Order: sequence, then C-alpha cells, then structure tokens
Amino acid sequence: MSKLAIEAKGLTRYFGTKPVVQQVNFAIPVGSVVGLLGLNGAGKSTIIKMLMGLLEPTRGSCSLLGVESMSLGPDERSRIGYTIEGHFLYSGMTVRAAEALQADCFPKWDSLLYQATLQRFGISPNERIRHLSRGQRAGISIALTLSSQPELLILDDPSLGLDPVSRRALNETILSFMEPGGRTVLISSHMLDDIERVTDRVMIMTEGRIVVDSSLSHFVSRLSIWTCECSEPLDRVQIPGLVSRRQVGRQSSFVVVDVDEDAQQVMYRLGGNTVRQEESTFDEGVMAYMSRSRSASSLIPT
Amino acid sequence: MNAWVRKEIKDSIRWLPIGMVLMVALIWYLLASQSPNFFAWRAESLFTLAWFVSAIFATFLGLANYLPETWGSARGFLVQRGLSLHRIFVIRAVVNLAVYLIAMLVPLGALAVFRFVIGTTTAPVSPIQVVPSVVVVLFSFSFYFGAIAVACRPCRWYGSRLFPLLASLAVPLAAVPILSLPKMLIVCVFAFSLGIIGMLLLAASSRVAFLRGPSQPAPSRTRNISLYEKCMMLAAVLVATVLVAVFFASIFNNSYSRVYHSVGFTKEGMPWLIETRYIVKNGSGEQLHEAKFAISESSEDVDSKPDVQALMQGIGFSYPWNYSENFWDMKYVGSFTSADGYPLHVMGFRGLLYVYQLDALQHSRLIAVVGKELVGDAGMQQAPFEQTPRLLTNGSNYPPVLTGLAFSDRNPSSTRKPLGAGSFTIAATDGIYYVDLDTSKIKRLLDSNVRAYSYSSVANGTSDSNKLAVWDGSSISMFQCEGSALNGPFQIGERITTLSTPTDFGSKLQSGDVQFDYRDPDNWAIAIGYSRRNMVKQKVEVARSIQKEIQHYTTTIPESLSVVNLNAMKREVLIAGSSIPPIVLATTGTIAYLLGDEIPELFSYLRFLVAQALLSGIMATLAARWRGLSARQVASWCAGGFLIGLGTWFLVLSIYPRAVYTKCPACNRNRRIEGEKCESCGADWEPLTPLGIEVFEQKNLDAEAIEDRIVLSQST
Repeated sequence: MSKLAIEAKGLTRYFGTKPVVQQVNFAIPVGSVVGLLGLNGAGKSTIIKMLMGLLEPTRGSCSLLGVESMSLGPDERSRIGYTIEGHFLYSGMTVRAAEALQADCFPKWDSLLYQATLQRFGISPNERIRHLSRGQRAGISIALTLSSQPELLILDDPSLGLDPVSRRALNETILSFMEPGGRTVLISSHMLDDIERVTDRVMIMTEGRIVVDSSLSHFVSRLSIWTCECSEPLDRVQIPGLVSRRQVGRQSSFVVVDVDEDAQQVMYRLGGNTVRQEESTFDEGVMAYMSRSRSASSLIPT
Repeated sequence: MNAWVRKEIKDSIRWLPIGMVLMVALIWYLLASQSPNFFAWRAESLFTLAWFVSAIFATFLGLANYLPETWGSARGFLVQRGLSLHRIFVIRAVVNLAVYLIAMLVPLGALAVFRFVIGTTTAPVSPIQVVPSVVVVLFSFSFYFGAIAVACRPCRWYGSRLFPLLASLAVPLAAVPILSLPKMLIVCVFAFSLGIIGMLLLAASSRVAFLRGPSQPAPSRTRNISLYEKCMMLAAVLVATVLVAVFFASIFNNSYSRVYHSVGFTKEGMPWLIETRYIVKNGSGEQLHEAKFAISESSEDVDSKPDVQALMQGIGFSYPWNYSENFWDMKYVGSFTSADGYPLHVMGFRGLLYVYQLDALQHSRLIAVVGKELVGDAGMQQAPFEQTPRLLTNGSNYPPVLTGLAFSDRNPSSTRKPLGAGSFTIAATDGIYYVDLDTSKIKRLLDSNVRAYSYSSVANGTSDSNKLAVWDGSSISMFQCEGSALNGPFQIGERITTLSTPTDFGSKLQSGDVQFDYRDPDNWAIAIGYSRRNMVKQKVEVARSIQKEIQHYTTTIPESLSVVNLNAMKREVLIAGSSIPPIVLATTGTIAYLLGDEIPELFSYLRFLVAQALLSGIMATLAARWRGLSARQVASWCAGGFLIGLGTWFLVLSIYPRAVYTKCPACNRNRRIEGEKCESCGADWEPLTPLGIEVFEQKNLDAEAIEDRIVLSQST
C-alpha cells in the first residue's frame, strides 16, 4: 500500500495554448495536512480537479492513495472525501435526504458524526437545502464529506463565503477529523490564518507553478523582511532572492528569501543606515508571494 | 443504491406531465383536424406525429437529466461517491425509460381503449391502429441516448455538438416498414433488428461519453475515441450528407416526361398508324418529340393527315394491384346512395368490406360486413377476400384512403340494415362480385384473376351500356356490361375482345403501365404497354371489329423514341446527388441495377462520383493532418474519405480534438503540448527556469523520510 496519499509528477494542464499548471511535482505522505495557497487563477482548483480525476492532465500524472486519478473507481472514491468549491449540493433535497443519499454510497458512513456536525453549524435535518444560507450549506457539505470517514480529505476553498463563526466551526471540525491520526488533508484556501492554524505544510502556487513546498516553520525561517528609505525607484531594484517589494510613504519594504551577502550589500547600498531587518511571519510571507504574482501582471484566467 | 434510485425517480418523474401533455395535445390535434366529431383515422398520421412528439420528449429527457451535471461542481459532486458512474447511468436510463414509456404510451393506450369502446360498429376504427405508433415510440428512445451524447460532448453548440441527434434519427426509421404489413414482413424483421442494434450502439456510445465526461473546452490530449462513438458519429455524418444531398437534388429536379398517343385510321376505318408525342423536361430544357409509325400496311402516305383520334388519358390502369394493403386502417373504398337516399360508405379492412350508413343526423352505423361468400353482421365468421375489393365505379380503381366518417356518441342501435339499403358491384383479385344488401347475398359475376381493371361509360354511349376491361396478368379482356354498378342490378355480358401483346415486355420488376382505350360505336380498342421505370419497351395492339370480325394489329414502338434516351438528368441534380456518400450510392445503385429494368441513371453520376471521392479523400487527409494524427491514421481516414464522402472531413474534425502546438526550444519546430517528447527532435520538455524564490523543504521524499513523517503524525 502506498505511503503517499497524493502524488503528482510533471503535472501540466493547458487551456488552449495557455499553460495553467506547469510541471507541478509534489508528494504528500499519509497523515499530512497540507495547505494549497495562491491567488485566484493560480491553478489551485485545476490541480485539485486533476487530482480528483475530473480534469485530464495535458501531460504528467497524478495519483490518490496509489491509484491513478483518471482511474479512480467507486472503491477508491469511497475512501476519499472531497468538498467542492462553492459547496455544490442537490438543492431540492432535505438535509436528511441528502444524508440518506450519501450514506448509501459510502460504506463507512458515520451518522452520529453527521448529526454532530450539523449541530455544530446549527442546521436542522428537516430543512430543504435551497432554503439554507451559504454558511449552512457549507456546513452540510463538510458534514457529508467527513461523515463518510475518508482516509484522504480534499477541501477546495471550504471557507468560501463563511462568516467567522462558521469558519471557526469548520476549523474545529477539521481538527477533530485529524485526531484519530493516519488521515491526510489537502486544503485549498485564501484564509491564511485558517491554514496556519490547521496545516503543518504549505504549498504556494504562482503563475501555474509551485514555488513553495515546505513546512510552515521552515518556510518562515527562510524569509526575512527588509525595510529602508530607498532613494532609487523600486522597479529598478534588483536583489537576489527578492520575493516582493512595496512602498509605504518613504519606507520601502522588501521580502527576501535566503538572504546572502550579496543581497545585504545591495540593501545597504540602497538604504544606508536606514536599513532594518526583521523576521517574516507566515501571513507576510504568503502575501509576499501572492503580491509578487499580481504585480508581475501574470494572472492566468481559470 | 436505493436512495439513489429514489433520487433518480424523483428527478425524472417531474418531467412526466410534460411528456403526457405533449402526447395528449398531439392526439387531440389529430382528432380535431380530421373530423368535426373529433375522430382520427389513419395509423400513418398518428405514427408520424407520435414519432415527432416522442423524439422531442426523449431528447428533452436526456438533456434535462444530463446537461446540468456535465460541468464543474455538479459533475464533481456526481462523480465523487462510492457508486460507479456505470451504475448511475443504468439506474438513470431505466428510470427515464419508465417515465418516457408512461408519458408516451398511456395516452396512446387511452386512445386504443377509446377506439375499442367505439368499435367497428359505430365507426370504422380499431384499437390496433395505435400499434405502429407504439413501435415508433419505442424506437424513438434513441433520441434519449443521442441527447446524452450531446450533453457530454466537449464541443461548441455551433460545432458538432448536436450531431449525435442525427444518428438517433436513423433508429426510428426501422419502425417505418410496420406501416406496410403484411407485405413488408421480412423487411420489418430485418429493419427491427437493425433498429435494435442501432439503439444498443447509441446506448453504448452515450454511456462512454457519460463515463468519460467532457474534459473542458479545448481539450488538449488526443483521447482514445471509443468505437461506439466513432460509429455514432459516422451514422450522423451519413444521415446528414444524404439528407442534404437529397434536399438539394429535389430542389433542382423538376424534370418530367409525358407521352400522348393517338391512333390514325384509314378512310376505310382500318387502324393504320400511331402518333406519339413526348414532352420531356430535363437538364436540356423542355423538348417535344413527335413520331408516327405504321401499325398496318396501307397505301396511304404516313405523313398524310388521316383521321387521327387521340387516346383519352384517364382510363389507363396500372399493374400489379399495387395498393399496399394497410394492416392497421380501414380504407375508404367508395360510397354511393342507398335506396332510401342515405349515403352508404364502404370501408375495407383485412379483406372484408364494412358498409356504413350515415343518417340524417350525421351518425354512422355499421349495417353489413361483406366477405367472400356471404353478407352478414360484425362478429360473424367471414372468409376474407385476398385483398380489399374495390367498388366498380367509373374511372380510377384506386380510390384514396383519406376521408373519414363522423362517429356517433350514442350507443349504436341494432346493426340490422334498414330496407332499401341497396346493392353494388365490386372488383376483387379473383373476380367481379355483385353484392345485394337487401337479400344479404353475394354472387360472383366474373370468375377471373383480376390484376387490374377499368370500368367506364363509353364515349357517346349510354349509361346502361358500359364496358369493363380486366387484366388477368397475361391479357386484357373486354366485356360488355348491363345495369348499374352502384345501386342496381348489374350483369357482365359477353367477352368482346382480348388484347395480349402490350402486357408482355419482360419487365424485371413486373411493373409498368398499360394505357388502354375503347371506343364505341367505332368499336375499336387499343392498348399500349410500357415499363414504368423508363418506358423503354413499348408494345401496341389495336383491336377492331370489322364486319363483325375482330382483327388485331400489333407493333413495337421503336426504341429510338424511348423516353429514357431523352431523360437526361440536370447537371445540378447530378452534382447534388453525387454528394451522397459513395458507399450509399454504390449500394443503392447496385440494388437498383439488379432489380430494375435498365442500367439506372446512376451511371450518369459516375464522373461526379469519382470527383467527389477524390475530393473527399484529399479533404479527409488534410483534416487528419490538421488534427495531428499519425501517418497510419491519416492513411486510414484518406481511404475512409473515398467511401464516406464529403462528410469525412467533418467526421475527423468532430471526433478528434484540435491539436495544440508550441515551439520546441531544441529544434524550434512545432511540437504537440501533450507529447512527452518532441515529434521532430525527440527532446524532452525543458525544466522550468527557477525564479530564484523557491522554497522546497524536501524535493525527493525517500522511503525513510516518509516513514518518519507517518510515525510523527501518528504520535501527535
């Protein structure tokens, strides 16, 4: 049995002539909780769809639980939980009927867990799904996904449209899901504090490629923030390992990865004795990578 | 799985009222349009509209159930469960089939019950008239599978997305021969088998399309197209090409030919020559050809102007007795006025005649059923005629089967016929019969094989001196008749003469026309026979009574005057017709040649056919190369183009996705984006240029590291 829950090798996907995902390689072992981050259009959902076998890769391959994604059968899918972006549900059903439908399709269905999750989100089983709020729909979607007792959980932007209370309920649900151990989670989200709280590893995508694949601590440890009063125009500043730069009033700020001597020299030449260095936080580091994509005008449409 | 079945039932059953309303509306339309008392007649009409309605509803069911789940989140939610897509497909198909059948067949069943309740006593209807419609409804379920294929095709709506529906159109065609039972029984069995095979192919194709699912617009990988999908698209292209070709050919094809004959007599009254006038309109325009040729020796000059009398056009009759016996409907055989002044309508059904009387309030009721040996009531055992007899009336012996009777909404009274109902004479395939409704008796007046007949008053004659001509398959016999063929005593007198030559011209299909005329008191008869297909072989016989002796004169019209030589096809028709797929044209041409009298005009198509095949091969090759297929595939499609015709290029483009290319940095030539290696230089894809900001903690997880991570995660 594969010890890798998710694996991608040279995963590439084009839409027309435009590469949306380029030569993505990663391997997620069993028991990991991984966050997948990136701007809109970075390719996160495309990767997830390819992992779930909903989209055929242009090149490369990917597998879940050791099985090629395009060959996933009902047995494998019953071991995978997948929350779709937007929390699609059959809106004409009641909450109870939705449970019956899912329970029929998943042999390890846990009805108690389902009821408990519903309670956490404040949802009545007799309600018709179309009459529920977005947050409640998200709750049902999470409940349906987790109650099938999957070994692998893939969540595509699960907190989309959720209020803070619902988001907290979601995070608690995910954490309690992880408690028994041996379960793998891949979360794609924009909520950095949720990712920081729940995951132990992060992947950041930009321009269709993965540029960060690291534990949170390691990621943060390799970044540093440099500020100074810089006289030169920012767009002319060339620093090795520069992730992003921004200007707030007279202060220029640079996020740099793996600062070496060359980088420090450039920094002091720019700002002289106004140069200050500090450690980056997870939020700032992720924002730096994301803002780099936007400022480079390299958005790719999904 | 039970919950899924319940879900599918609930999703599908909401469309049931739509289908039922459609079918009920159709039946209502038919009833209202045929008669003021809301009564529908022909199985054929119901068949056509049932086909239309069931095709629409089946297509709607397929699209409504599959289109919403084709893309995005809905597709993901459908796929991601411990239930295979195959099982979902089967459950959904069974449920949708049940809903479809209920919606379509319940109204038809109600109509059948309604007709059963009315019965033949009140009006000439029968519950079995809905059977052809039931059959076409069953076959029209092919549109459901076609709609699934449409929903799951990764194409633009303005592209080839709707093409599977064309393939679906071919399947219900298998039901058409049922309208011509029992004559087409073997064809029916063969067609039904083909229809079932077509249905299974469509089902398999739609299943594959659903299981695979669309992979977003502009898919970039050359997929392995299933054989079922290829067959479906091939069928669609063939149907489309034939329809387009026939449509344009019919627009351009306004050719016709007409022939007029006149017989000239000498001063002594001897039939002497035949004048023939052909008017032909074809690709060369309208032409008139006239010719004269002698039928007997005479000292007079052919080009002089004898006493020429033209043959009447309307007394011809065709052979064989070619009215297709409709198994399902009663046919309107004819009508006459009864002795008490009320109209009597005669209907034919399975060799029996049903006589209905219409009273002053427009109510009809059955008064007699006429069989071969007796006249009785409905329900009596009757020996049927071999084929539906015809009333012996003036003119054509093939009355149309169109108009109907209003039915009575009262309970029918006794079927005993009233007094003064009348009598009539009928022509059956084994003789001429006189039917007396008053005495409930039937009597055979002429014992003869009757392949065709013609009954008419004679020009300048009296109404009680009529002539009857009967063709028994080898000769035409003329009889003097006395009395009224409708509503009166009738007698067939002595045989006047027999003409045998014009019917013998060895037609393969045994089909042709005999134009016949008889004149009295001039007392001569003429028959000209020609093969219907192309009027090549024409024989003339004239019989004249001269001093009470019948003399016969025969001749053959020269082939140089045959219309086939004048029947050139218009160039536009040839071009349009030659766009029919070569394999279809070759097959139909071969069949026509084997069964027909002459080499068909299809050979006129030959040069256009060759041009089409070449052009198709070239276009198919270009399309295959454009799609980036391998050399072997290109060669196969080139060969396919010669057989499938002009639609092949479209077939290739609709089956294979567009190839996407990018420049290879190694050789700077185009390479496919989904290929692992460059087709030209074999280079691999170059790794991405590092951005300098990458943070990879562990690029290659070896086994030990993985084990450590698992232990670590399990302990926390």
